[in-house]
Amino acid sequence: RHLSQVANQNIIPVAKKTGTTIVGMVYKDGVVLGADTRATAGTEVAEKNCEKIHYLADNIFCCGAGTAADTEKTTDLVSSQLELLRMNTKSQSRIVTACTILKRMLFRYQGQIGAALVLGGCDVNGPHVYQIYPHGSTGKLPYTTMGSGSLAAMSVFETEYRDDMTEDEAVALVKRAILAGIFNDLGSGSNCDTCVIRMDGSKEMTRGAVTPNDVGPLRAMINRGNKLIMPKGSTAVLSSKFVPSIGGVSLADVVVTEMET
Amino acid sequence: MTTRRSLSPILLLLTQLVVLIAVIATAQKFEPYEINGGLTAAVSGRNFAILASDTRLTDGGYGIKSRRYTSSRLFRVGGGTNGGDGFERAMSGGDIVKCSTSGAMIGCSGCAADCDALRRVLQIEARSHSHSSPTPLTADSIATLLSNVLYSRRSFPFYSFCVVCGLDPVSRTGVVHVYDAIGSHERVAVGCSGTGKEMLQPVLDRLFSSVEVTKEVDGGGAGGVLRRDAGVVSARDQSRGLSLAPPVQTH
Repeated sequence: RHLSQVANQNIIPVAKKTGTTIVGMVYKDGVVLGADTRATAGTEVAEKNCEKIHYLADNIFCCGAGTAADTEKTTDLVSSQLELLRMNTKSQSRIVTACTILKRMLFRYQGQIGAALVLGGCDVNGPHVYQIYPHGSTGKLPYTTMGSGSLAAMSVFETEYRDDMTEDEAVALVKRAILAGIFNDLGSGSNCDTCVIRMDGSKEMTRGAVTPNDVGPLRAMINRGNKLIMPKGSTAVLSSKFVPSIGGVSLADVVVTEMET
Repeated sequence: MTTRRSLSPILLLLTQLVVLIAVIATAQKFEPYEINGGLTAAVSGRNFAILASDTRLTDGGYGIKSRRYTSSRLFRVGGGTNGGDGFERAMSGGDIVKCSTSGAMIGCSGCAADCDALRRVLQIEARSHSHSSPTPLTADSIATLLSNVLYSRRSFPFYSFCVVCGLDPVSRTGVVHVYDAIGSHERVAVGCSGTGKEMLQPVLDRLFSSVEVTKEVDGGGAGGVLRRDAGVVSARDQSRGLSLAPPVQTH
């Protein structure tokens, strides 16, 4: 079966950086995660303000790059598993636990699940940030970036990261890194979301921490006139005929398009 | 025991087969074209014609080569000193640039190298024509010239999607032609081409293609709407940027 898969492809797929910029870093009292908000389907922007920072536990969040459905469902699944584990063990989830569950699942699927994740949070052992690749390899680092904008964001991190930064400095650095991805990478865009998870257990999820691409004021300036505002009844109905479908609509009529974050 | 002994040579053959297919599969094919992006749009009216384009040049993938690229995205053909005389400098300003009424302006998107080669061919043809004929090329003639130049490369096309924009010298109405890569063209009232054209064309059709609108709209208004509309489209198509350089031709 594997041979037939290889033979059917005209070219071996080149490793593709997925259209997004996600970052995570450890600072003095916790971790800061950041993500852009563009979801693409090919070259078209499918969603201008999607949410890429997913909830895993009260003390663990996960940024997801790659196939949007995969990151969404994988993080949901692991979030449920962590909750069951918390009931069983009666103790707070650890980041390494989430990392291990994720990597074991992704490796089982041999990279077919296109989820590249930046996992971050605080537990009894301190603040941690992990990077998890679709094939199941992981890395534990003080700061990391993933996605097609990762090079742009990493250049900012490598220039300005220091150990034990304050929260304000860390959040500002994460925002600068994501903005580098937003403006210099075509797969990333729109706004920057940030999530701060502190050692004392508090967290702060900010949707739209920076919104440099807000087209609201520009759109408000456009005087469309009556040409583009069409009231109900603008289109005359010449005749109407209702024909019920025989047999109904089936799943065979559904076309699936993959959307990337 | 016999089954186990006969398995290993088969396994060896299988692994060799996988390696062979992998080698054949990874043999690189020569890809002559690179899509550098761009969106151009033109509107024609009773006494004006506007051509606008975006200025982003991409590397074919996720990278940006230039935020302000106009040299082969938008250029003049056949007017007086053939596009020199400060046109390029004026384009870098970012405001509406008014051009003389002879000749035409062409907006090209697709493969930037092909657009540039096309620009050079057209400007040479126009200059050559000016040596042998006293009257300058008209917008319609340039439209036909472009079609012939594109079709001359039928077997290895210019990957260049053009919009020609000019003024008819007799009636002074706007002339806009849209093209495909091999020279099929059609005169239209409003037209666009490039990445995101599917999203901009319906908006242009709605705003400009009925008779009562062309009566009301003057050059400035159309330029403003074009700039803003293309600005709205750019949020939706990752290959386009936000800065526009719309030159205007009026009499």
